[in-house]
Amino acid sequence: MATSTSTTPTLNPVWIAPIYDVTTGEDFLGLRAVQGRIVDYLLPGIITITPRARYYPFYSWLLVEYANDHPKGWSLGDFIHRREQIFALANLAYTAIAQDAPDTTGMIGSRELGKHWKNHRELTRIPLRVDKYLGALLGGYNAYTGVMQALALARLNEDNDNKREVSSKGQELASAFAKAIKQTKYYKERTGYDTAKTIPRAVLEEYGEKCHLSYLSLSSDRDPTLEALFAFDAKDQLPLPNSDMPTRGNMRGTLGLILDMMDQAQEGFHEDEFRRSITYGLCPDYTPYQPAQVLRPILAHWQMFQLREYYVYALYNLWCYFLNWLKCEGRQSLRTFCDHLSEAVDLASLGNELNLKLPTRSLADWPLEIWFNTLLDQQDLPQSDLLGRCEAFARQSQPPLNEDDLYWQSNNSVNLDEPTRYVGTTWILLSALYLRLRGLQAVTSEDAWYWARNGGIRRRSLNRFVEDMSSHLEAGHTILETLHWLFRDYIIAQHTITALEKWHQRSANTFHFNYEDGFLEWVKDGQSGFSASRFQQAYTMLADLGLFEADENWIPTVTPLGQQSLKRVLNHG
Amino acid sequence: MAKSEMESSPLNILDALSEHQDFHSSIFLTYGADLTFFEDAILPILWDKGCRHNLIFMDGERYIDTVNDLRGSISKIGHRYLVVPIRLGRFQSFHPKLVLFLGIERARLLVGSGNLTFTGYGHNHEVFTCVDWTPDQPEWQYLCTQAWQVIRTIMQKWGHSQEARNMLHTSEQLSPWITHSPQVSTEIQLLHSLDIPLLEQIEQALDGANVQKITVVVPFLDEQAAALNALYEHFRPTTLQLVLQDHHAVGNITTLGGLLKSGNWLKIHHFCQVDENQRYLHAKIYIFETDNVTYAITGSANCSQVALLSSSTQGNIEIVLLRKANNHEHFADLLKHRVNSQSITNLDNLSLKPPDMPPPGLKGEKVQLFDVSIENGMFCASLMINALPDGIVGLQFRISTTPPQFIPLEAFSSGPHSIKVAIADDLQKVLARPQSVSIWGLDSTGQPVDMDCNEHWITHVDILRFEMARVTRVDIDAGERFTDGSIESESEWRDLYETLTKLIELDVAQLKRKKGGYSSQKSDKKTGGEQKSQEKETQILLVDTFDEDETVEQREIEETIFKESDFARWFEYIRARLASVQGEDTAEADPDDIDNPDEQTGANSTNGNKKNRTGRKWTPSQRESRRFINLVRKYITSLNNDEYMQIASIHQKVTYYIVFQRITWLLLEHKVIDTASFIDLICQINAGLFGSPNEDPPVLCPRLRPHLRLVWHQEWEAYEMAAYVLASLFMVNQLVLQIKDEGLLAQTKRQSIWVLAGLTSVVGPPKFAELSSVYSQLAAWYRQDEVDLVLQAEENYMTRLADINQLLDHWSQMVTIALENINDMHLRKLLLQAKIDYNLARFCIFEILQDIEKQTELCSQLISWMRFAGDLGGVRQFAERLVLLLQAQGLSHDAAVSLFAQGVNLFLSGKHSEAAAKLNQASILAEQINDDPLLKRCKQYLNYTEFFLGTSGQIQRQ
Repeated sequence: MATSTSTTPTLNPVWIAPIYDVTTGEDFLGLRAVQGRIVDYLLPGIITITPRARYYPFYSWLLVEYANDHPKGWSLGDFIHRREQIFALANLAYTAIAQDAPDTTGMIGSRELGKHWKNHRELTRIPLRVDKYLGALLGGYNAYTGVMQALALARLNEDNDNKREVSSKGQELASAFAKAIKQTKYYKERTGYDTAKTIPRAVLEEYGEKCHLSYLSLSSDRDPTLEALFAFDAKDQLPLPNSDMPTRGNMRGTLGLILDMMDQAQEGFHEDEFRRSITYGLCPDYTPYQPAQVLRPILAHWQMFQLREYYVYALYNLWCYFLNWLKCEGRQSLRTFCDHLSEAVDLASLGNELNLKLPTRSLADWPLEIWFNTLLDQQDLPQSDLLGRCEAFARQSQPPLNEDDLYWQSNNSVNLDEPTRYVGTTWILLSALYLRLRGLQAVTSEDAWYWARNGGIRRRSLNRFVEDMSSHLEAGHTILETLHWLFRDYIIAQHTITALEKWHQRSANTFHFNYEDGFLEWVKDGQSGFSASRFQQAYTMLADLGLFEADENWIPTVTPLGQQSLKRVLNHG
Repeated sequence: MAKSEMESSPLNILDALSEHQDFHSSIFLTYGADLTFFEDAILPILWDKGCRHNLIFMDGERYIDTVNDLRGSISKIGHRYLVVPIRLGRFQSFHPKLVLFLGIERARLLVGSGNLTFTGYGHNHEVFTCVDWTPDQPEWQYLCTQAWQVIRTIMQKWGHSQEARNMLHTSEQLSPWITHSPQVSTEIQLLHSLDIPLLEQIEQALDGANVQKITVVVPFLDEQAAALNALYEHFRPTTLQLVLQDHHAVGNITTLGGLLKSGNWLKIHHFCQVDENQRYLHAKIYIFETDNVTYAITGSANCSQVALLSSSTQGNIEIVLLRKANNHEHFADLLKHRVNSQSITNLDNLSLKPPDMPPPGLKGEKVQLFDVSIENGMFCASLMINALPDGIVGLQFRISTTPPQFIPLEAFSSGPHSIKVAIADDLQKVLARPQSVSIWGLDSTGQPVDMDCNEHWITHVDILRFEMARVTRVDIDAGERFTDGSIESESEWRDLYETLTKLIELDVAQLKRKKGGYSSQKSDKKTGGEQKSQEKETQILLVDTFDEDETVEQREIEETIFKESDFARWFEYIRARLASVQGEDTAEADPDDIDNPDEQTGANSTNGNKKNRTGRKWTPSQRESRRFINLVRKYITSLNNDEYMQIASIHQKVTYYIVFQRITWLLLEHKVIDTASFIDLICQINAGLFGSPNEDPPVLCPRLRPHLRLVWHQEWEAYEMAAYVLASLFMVNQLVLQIKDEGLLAQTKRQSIWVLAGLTSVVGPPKFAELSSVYSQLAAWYRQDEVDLVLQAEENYMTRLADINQLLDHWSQMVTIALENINDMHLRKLLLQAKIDYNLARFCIFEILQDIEKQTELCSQLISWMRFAGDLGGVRQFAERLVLLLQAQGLSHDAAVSLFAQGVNLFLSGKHSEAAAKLNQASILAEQINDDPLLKRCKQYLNYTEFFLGTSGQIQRQ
C-alpha cells in the first residue's frame, strides 16, 4: 500500500513502513450509505451538488451545441468550461444591474468566477480566461451527469467513455434554452466567444437576463424542465427498491409530497419541518401535515429515511462521547468505559428535564423490559403486550417520546462532559426508535421496510438493530449490558470494520482510536449530525420553477402553477 | 556485510506476507491480536494464495480480550483459522512477535516487535527482520528450524488445542525439511526465553567481548529499571544510551533519575519522529558495540525484568534475533535521524507514562476451559475443575449468544475432564457462526451462576476442515505436478484427475446455474485500430429515447464469476508457478542432473520434498489413463456443443484451452497416448475452439461467434493465448513431420491456417517480441529450445500470411453474402462488425507485408464499411491513414481528391470547421500538383464554409 517499500529480505532489522497513504475520510462508522441509497431512490434527479434547476436545460443545450459544432480539437470539457464561464459571468453581470438582484446561489464556479467578476466588473470587456475555475474534467456538468442520466436527458455511452447521448427530451430542453436566449447578441455570436479573449460586459448583461438561474420560471425552458424534473412521462412510480427498474418516476412523488406539505403549511416550512413531517406524517395525531392518499406510499419510504437518520445520528453521538472520554482518560478498556457509564449516567434526573417520570435506578440493575414499558407508560398507551404497545406507539407523534424532540434535546446538549445529558438522551432516543420501529415493522409496507433491511450487518440495518435489541430484551439484559453491547458491536466494531474498509478502498488510515493489548486509545475526535436529505436542493428547484413563493418567515404559498403541478401529481398517482 | 546492504527501504509487512503464494501454513506468535484486522487484511491474502493452515498463538489474557471486545466484528475464528491462547503466570506474558510461513520449497520468517494489529503491522515505529529460505538459498534454514522448534515447544507445553496440534503436524508433513538440523551460523541467532533468560544468552553470544557502548531503544522499562541496570552491570559499557519516546514510553522517572546520578554511564535521548504522524515507538532495539564488532538485537523484548532477566518459568516468553556485524557502521542506518543527538540532562524534559495496572487476576481459577471444539457434530471440551464454590449443584456450558444457550455438563468432580456431548439440532444452527463458551454453575434453584471461568472460542473442526478442503492441499500438489510436468505415481495421477474434475466444468447443466452467457451479449466495442487512438474530442449522439431497462454489464458479471471460482484461483496458481519454476523444471527434467552427486548435497540435501522427487514419469494404469483420455474427449465434445460454447465465458474458454493443451501434452510425455493420438486430440481441440475448414466462418457459426471476435482481444491478450496457440501448432507440425505422413501434413496445414486466421481476427498478427516471456515457459513446457520455438513459430506464421489473408478475405465475402439474407438488426450489426474485424486483420497483414497498394485499397473499403456501421471514429482514423498511404505512394492527386471528398462530406453533415480544415489541406495539395480544377472546387467549398462559420469564428478557429 505505502510507496517505496521493500519486501526483499536483507537479514537486517528494518523499520516497517506505514501501510496507508492518507488519513482523511468521512462517515467513519460507515452508516450513512443507506440514507444515500434511500434518497437516490426517492430523488434520483437531484443530488446535493445540483441545486439549481436551470442547469438541466443549460447543460442539455451545451451537449447539443457541442454535437453540432465546436472549435476543432476541443474536448467536451474544454467546451463546457468556456461556455459555463460565460454563463456564470452573465448571471453575475445581470445580478449586478438588476433591480430585484436575482439570486445566484448554487451557481457553479461562483468562488473563482465571483472573484474574477469582482476584479473586472468595471471594464467594458470582461476577460475570459478563468478556465481553471473548477477542477472537474467536465466543469460543473460533472456533477450533473448522474442526475441528467437518471432523468433520461443525457447519458454516457455504455461502451465508450468518450461518447455521450442526448435523448429527445434532452434535445427538447436544449431547444427551449436556445429559444430563451435566441435574441441575445451572445447567442448570435456564441461560436466566436468560444475562443474570444474578452466579452463585452453589455453582452453578458443582456445574456444574463435571459439565462439567469433565478429566471427559469419566466423563460421558455421552464415547462420542459418542470416536465423533466417531475418525470410525468415516467411509467412507474416506486418500483421495488431492489429491482433494476428506473426510479425517475419517484421524482414526481417526492416533489409532489413537498408541494403538498407546503400547501398545508400554516407556519414556516423548511428542512426541519420537512424532516418532522416525513417522520410523523403517517401518524393520525400529527396535525401539521396529513398526506394525500396517493402520497402515503412515498411518505412511508421517506419515513424510513428519517428514522434511519435519527438512528445513525444517535450512534454517532455515542461514538463522539466515547472518543471524548478516551481522550480525557487515556488508554482504557471497554469494561472501564462501561463502569464509567454505570456511574455517570443518571436517567432519573434526565427524565425530569425531558418530562419523563423515571425512577432512580442503576443502569446495571434496570432490565430492558421494565425500561421499555416505563417509557411506553409515558405515552399514555393502553396496557397490552409489548408488541401491541409498540404498534400503538408507532402511530403516535406526541412527546415525550418524540424522536425529533429528543434529537433537538441531544443536539443542544453539546457538552460532551455531561454523560447524563449526552449519553442518556441518546439512549432514550435509541429506545424510542426501537419501540417505533418494532411497531412499524408490523404495520408499514413491505416495500418501505426494505430500507430497514438495507445495510445488513455491515451497515447495521434498522432491522438488525430491532432484532438485536429484541434479543437483549429476551435475554433479560439490563440497560448497562445493552449499552455495553451497543458500544462494542455498533460503535467499536463498526468503526473498526469501516476503517478497514476505507483502508482497503483508499489506503486510508481513518482509525479514530487504536486497539492494542485489550486497550483502546484515542486518536481523533468524532462528529455527529444528519446526512443530506437533498430537501434544500429540491426546495430551490421548486422555487426556480415558480411553484411556490415563501415570505420572510418561510411560510410558503403554492402558486397556481404549483397547484396545477400538485394536482397532476395527485391525479397521476 | 557491506554497509549498503543495511540501507534498505522500510518493510511493508503486508507485502512481505503476500509476496509469495506457495505457502501452505502460516504461524503467528503475538502478544495481542486485533483479529478483525487479521480477518480483514491478512487472512484473505493467505486464503487466496492457497495458504490454508493458519494458526495464531497469543497471550491468554489478550485472548480473553478478543472474546470480550471483538465479538461483534470477527466471523472466521475457529472456522478458517485457529487461535491458541498461551496462559502463563499472573505477571508473565506470552510476548513474542514472529511469523513463520511454510511452503514445500520455501519459508519466510519475520521476527520483530509488532503485534498482529493494524498499528503493529502498519502504523507504529516497529522493527522486523525478514529471513527467507528456499532450497537454492539454504543458508538460513536453521533459523526457520529453530523457530519451528520454539513453536512446537510452545504447543507442547502450553497449547491445548488438538486441532492446532493436527495443523502443525500436517504442516510438518508437507515441509519435512523444517525438522532437519542444518549447520548454524553465529552471524544471526534466534534467541528465545523458553528455558534461559535472554540476557544470559546475549552474554554468551558476545563471548566476553569488551562492550564499549550499548544503545537501547524501547517503549517499556520496568518500574525499577532492573533490566537496564543489569545490562550495565553485565557488560560495563562506557556509555549506555537509552532512547525513549517522549510522552509515550513507559517507565519510572524517579528510578531513571537515580540511575543518572549513580554514574556517568547512562545517557538518555529523545526518540525523533521521522514523519508528521504521531506514530508510537514500539520497536525494541539493543545495539552492542565492542572493539571490532557490533551486535544488534531486535525482536519482542522490552528492557524489563520479565523480558530480559527471566526465563518462561517466571518471566515472559520473548523471541529476538541477534545479528552480528564486523564493523561499527553496519547498523548505523537503523537509528539514523531517529535519536536526538543531545542527551537529556534534566529529566523534567522527559515525560514517561506509568505502567498499566496489573490484571485483576486470572480467570479460570475455579474452573478452566482448555479447548472447545465441534467435531463430527459433537461438542468436545477439555477442562479442569479446581474448586467449586458452595451452593453449586451442577455445571453447564454457557454459549455466549444473546440470549445465552446452555448445555448441561454431567461430570463435575475436581480434576481434568474431557467431555463429548451431542449437540441438539437447534443449537447446531447457532454454532454455525463463531461463538465463545464458558462454564457456569447452577444453584439449587436452577439459576445459572457465573464462576469466573475463562471464555474460549469454539473451534468448529467440521467447518474448518470443509473450508480448508475447498481448494485443498491436494489441488496445490496437483497444480505443482501439472506445472512441473512429472507425475511420479499412480496416486499423483489420481489426485490430478480429482482436482481437474472438481475444478473444471464441462457440463452445460452446471454452467446454466451460473449467470453468465452470451445470449444477451451487447458489447459493441470499438475496433482495435480505433482503440489505439486517444481522441480528445467527445462524441455526442442525439438519440430519440434511452433504453431504461438496461441489463447489467454482462462482461463484468462473467469476469467476476470466473475470478471468484476455485478454478480461477487454481489456474492463477499454476500460471504463476509456470512462470517461476521453469528453471527448476529444466533441471529436474534432465536425468543427468538427478544422478549428479553434487545435487545430493547442499541445497537439495536439506529439501525433503525435492529429494523425494526424481523427475521420473509414471505411466498410469489403464483405468487412470482411460479416465484422462475421456476427460480430454469430454472437453472436445463440450467444444463442439453449441449450447455449452454459447454459455461458457470467454475466461473459461481460453483458460481451459491452456489447461487441456497441457493435459494432452502430459499424456504424451507419460506415454498414456502416442504421437498420432496427441496430434489428433490437439487438432480436435483447435478445431473445437477455432472451427475447421469444413465449417462456416466463425461469425456465421453460433458455436464460435461468441469468442472469436475482436471485442475479446483484451481477454485473449491477458491470457497470452497467441503464444499457446502458436506453440500448439508448432508442436503438431513438428510431430507430424516426424511421423512423415503426407496426408496428415496437408490436413494439419489447412487446419493451422484456419486457426491462425481465427487468432489473427481476434488479436491481430502476433507480436512475437512481446510474447518472449511466455515462450520461455512454453519452451520448458514442451521441452524445446526457446530460441528454436520462437523462431519456428514465427516462421510458421509468416510463411502462412498469404494463406491467412486469403482465408480472411473468403470469410469476409461469405459474411457479405450472409448479410444479404439477414433482417435481424442485431445480427446484421454483428456480421458487419465481423466483416470489419476480418478486414482489419487483413490490413495488419498487409502492413507486415508492406503492401501499400493493398493497404490503400482495403483502407478505402474499411472507411465505407465503418461509415455504414456508424463507427465515425474509425472512419476518421482510416481516412487519415488513407491520405498518408496515398501520399506515400506519391499519389498526391488521389490524396487531394480524398481530402476534398472528406471535406465535402463534413461540410454536408454540418461540421463546417472540420470541413474547412480538410478543404484547406486539399487546396494546398492541389496547388502543389497544379490541379486547378480541384483547387477551384476546394475554394468554392471553402467559401461555403466561411459563409457558415462567419469571419470572426473562422479566424479564431484557424
